[in-house]
Amino acid sequence: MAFAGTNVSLSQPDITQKLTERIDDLKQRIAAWGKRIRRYTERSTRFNQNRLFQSDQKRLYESLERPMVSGTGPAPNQADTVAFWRGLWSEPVNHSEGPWTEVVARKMLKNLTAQIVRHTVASRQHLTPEIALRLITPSCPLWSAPVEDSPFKDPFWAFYWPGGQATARYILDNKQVVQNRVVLDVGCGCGAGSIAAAFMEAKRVVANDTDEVAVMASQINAELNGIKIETSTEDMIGRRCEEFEVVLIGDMFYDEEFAKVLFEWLKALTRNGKTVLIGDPGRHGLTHSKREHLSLLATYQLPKETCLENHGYTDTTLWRLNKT
Amino acid sequence: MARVLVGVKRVIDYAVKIRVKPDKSGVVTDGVKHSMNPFDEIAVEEAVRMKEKKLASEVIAVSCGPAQSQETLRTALAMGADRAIHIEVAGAEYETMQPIHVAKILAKLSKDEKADIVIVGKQAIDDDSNQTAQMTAALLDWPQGTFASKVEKTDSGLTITREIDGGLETIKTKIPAVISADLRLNEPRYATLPNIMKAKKKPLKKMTAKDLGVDLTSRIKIISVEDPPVRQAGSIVPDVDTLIAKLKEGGHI
Repeated sequence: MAFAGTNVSLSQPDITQKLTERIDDLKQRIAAWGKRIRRYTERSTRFNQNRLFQSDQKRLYESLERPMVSGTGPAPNQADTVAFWRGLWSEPVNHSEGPWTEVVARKMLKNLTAQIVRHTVASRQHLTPEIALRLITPSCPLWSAPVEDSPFKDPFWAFYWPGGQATARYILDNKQVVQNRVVLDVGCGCGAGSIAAAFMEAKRVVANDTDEVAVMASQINAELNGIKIETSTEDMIGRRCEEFEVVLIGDMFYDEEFAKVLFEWLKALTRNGKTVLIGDPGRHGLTHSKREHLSLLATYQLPKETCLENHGYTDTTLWRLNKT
Repeated sequence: MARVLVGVKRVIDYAVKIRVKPDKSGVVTDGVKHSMNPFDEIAVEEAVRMKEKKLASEVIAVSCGPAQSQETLRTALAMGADRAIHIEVAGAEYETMQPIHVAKILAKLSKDEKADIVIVGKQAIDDDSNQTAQMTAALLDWPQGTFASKVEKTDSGLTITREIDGGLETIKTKIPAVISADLRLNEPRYATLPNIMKAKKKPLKKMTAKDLGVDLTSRIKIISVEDPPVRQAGSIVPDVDTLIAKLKEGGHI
């Protein structure tokens, strides 16, 4: 016996396998044809609908089958409907996009926090051992990794910059500068300045950095030290900062152009009676002419761990901007 | 306190196997890993150590070359230099650039930047010229301490220990001076992530040789660049007598 269109005969030894193959082949062909037919039906329906849409829209809508059967429930109250559409734009309504957006946002935040914690260690090897900070130290793989391997774009907040160390050290040694005062820590980085101010009983502390990850790192560090700080990511430069009394600047004179803008703003703040403290290890942007407006309050020798990540620097200084 | 100018050159990495171009005009540089000349790393390290010992107030790194030289300068900044100056020399002009041109540029910059000490590597591992330090000192009419293996600050100037053929020579120079770094001067540090990050924000100024009034016309012409001859295979002899016989045969003894 032979099958039509094949050379398979029952007398062959491997007949079962050959038959299975043949059956599989035919099944696939049938499936392929079925797909083509369905696709053809779909396309022709769409084509006909398009033509109908162009010639007679009313008939088209009538011809459309509605999967949702309408008119089974109670008819809508006409007055309600009118009121609904009238009021659509009159009141602002908070559209809830469903709980999933919150879940995603929370998850992302959690991931980032986990990332920060994973790539840093709590360290007290710096000028302010009273404050524990999560930092990238020589014991972290990232320390010696090439920049491309860093999961963070610019993890500047994972290093305790020498200028920031001067600011925090000075505050811890001179409680009166921040006690019962409202403090703004601009460019907070790892948040050490804010934490120091909070430790020294500042009335209110805001850790500010335009980098969201830095602010998050500050918050993690504040929690690590069992202290509460506020955070913000607004660009404060140029603002009047009415609500603040003390402004902390830790190591922000690393760029000459930016230093100019920053310094003008700080001068305006001092003219309005605010105390401006500047920590700096001798960066390029804090030029000689700028230093003429500053009073040197303290000089600290950098610990050797800090020197390791700041080749060429040995000291850090704390300055107060003079009122002019 | 002194201001230190350090010359750094971007060269083919020391670990790369050098290939000569088929037309014998030079070596293949395209797609080859480059890094800072190792002797220049030593020079940068010495300058940074001077700054850390408070003998120097500022370290300025200078490199002449194509745009990629900026990577080398960033390395110098990550090692601890305060700022960098890139003298852009590209294309054919760079291929024929000689130590005399670099020396003129360094000399002019030393004056403009009011440098007190110029430190360069004793030679670059690509052309092995060993001329830049000497020429710079001559152009500036400053004393020179070449092949330095130790540099100390004394009241009147510098005490430099030099590596010479027969051993070590100690010389005293006044400041300003030009130093060239030998291999044993120090062990350069690695640039780690925090330093590389911070180096990105340090100032890097771009200039041309023209800005400095230096003419880059070539004074010498490269006629041919060849691979070193391949070493002949040796042979193993069974005993001393055969060895002596073979040496006599070859006319060596």
